[in-house]
Amino acid sequence: MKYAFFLGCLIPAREPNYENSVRKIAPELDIELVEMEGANCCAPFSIQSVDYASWLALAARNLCIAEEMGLDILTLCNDCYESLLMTNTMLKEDKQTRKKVNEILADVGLKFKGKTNVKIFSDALYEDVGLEKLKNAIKEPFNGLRVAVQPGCHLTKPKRIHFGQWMGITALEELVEATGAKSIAYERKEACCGGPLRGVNDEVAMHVAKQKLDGMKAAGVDCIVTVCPFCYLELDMGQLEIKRHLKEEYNLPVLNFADLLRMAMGMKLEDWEIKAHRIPITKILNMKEAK
Amino acid sequence: MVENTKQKRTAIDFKYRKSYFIRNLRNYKRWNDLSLLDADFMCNIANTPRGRGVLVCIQCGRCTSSCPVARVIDEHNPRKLMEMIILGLRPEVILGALPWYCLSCFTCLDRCPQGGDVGETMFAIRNLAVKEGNIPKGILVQAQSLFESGRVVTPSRTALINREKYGLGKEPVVDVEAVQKILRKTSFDKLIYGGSRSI
Repeated sequence: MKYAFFLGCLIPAREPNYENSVRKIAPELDIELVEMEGANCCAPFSIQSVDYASWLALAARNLCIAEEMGLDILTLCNDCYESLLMTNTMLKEDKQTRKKVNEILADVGLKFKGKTNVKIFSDALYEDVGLEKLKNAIKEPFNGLRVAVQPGCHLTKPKRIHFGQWMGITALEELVEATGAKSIAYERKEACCGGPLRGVNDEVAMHVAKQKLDGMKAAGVDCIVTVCPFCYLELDMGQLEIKRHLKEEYNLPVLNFADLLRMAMGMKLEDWEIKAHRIPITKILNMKEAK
Repeated sequence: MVENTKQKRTAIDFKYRKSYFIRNLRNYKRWNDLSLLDADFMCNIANTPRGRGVLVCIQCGRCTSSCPVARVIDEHNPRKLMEMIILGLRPEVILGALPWYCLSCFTCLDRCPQGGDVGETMFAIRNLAVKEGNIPKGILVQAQSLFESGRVVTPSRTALINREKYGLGKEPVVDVEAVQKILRKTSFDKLIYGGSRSI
């Protein structure tokens, strides 16, 4: 499998450990990641709020770069996924909008043709690599680890751009269970983590995150696993803020899905990657070593 | 007061809106000064690419009941926001904090029985709000960062050091020139650097 690797802004800037894990896993599962040269920001919700045409043009520019490479896009971030997928779907269907966007893109010498697809990490693993191959690659399964899967909003929503498939969450759960961990049902699983309001209205963001964390704590989980870097930051950093402002302690370690997979495949996390987590993940590492 | 100024009327017709006024306007403080209402506001929103949803809204309130923010605070109420658009309370909707509570999680988009895209309409309102100069600092910083460096989030110093140190190589390069060319063409720079602000 060969993909155009779209990193986005948040992962290289705030979570280099996520990127590192994906790069380490990829060769084991025969995934080849090709860098997208000169790719810009995906234009997430904050840019969409400012201007409609700018969003479409910027997202379409990334799609055009992948088209020129002749590859499908692999993204790690839910927000990039939503922005790119929505643009791709819209421009493929709507000829008028495509014409307008192409007029803007003509200035930088690009043209949207509609030949590429957008995939998020978990969907790519589920559909293209497959559960069988993944299970064969797992050498040190997590037996009995209770995991709260945090799918993130844009993995499945809005459903009309996901072509009627409601696969995202189930796919992610099956992938997590393939590592030997157990996915626990909890209240408000599909709800938003509050991350998008961070920086705009921190207090609301904190309370929305608290609702999720309450549900997870009530279900009695050991850790949270997510694919989205926004959810990761919100739940990881958010716990510290909730502790400071609302005096409530959760101590739920948050892991990227790639980290979980990497550990299950028998690769050790490096020191700096363990330290990157604000809520210490030593509990999980100890559990693993005890077995 | 609710004179038909534009020739082209949209799906919810005039009669419906008039009965709506009488029933619901008393909930709002300014109901006794009808001249402050903007009869074309709903059409303005509906004519933007993402604002079509306002035309089919039946005020059932599913958007509010599914909204994670509405669970936390009372100020944010998507149904009420749609109502205010239909009534034409332009300043209340466009100015102030109301449009900026939405998380864009798109739960309401899936739940709306009319296919009315409430979450998308939120973007239409925000686009108008930005044109009037109502933009929160957090979003403005992201937009300016996008124009200057081609990315919304710029890396912290420790992240850069970590990348170099642990063999991830340099930060992926963005073609800033192309990004700025696109953004100039869509007059994005004027929006975020105060060129077109009226307030």
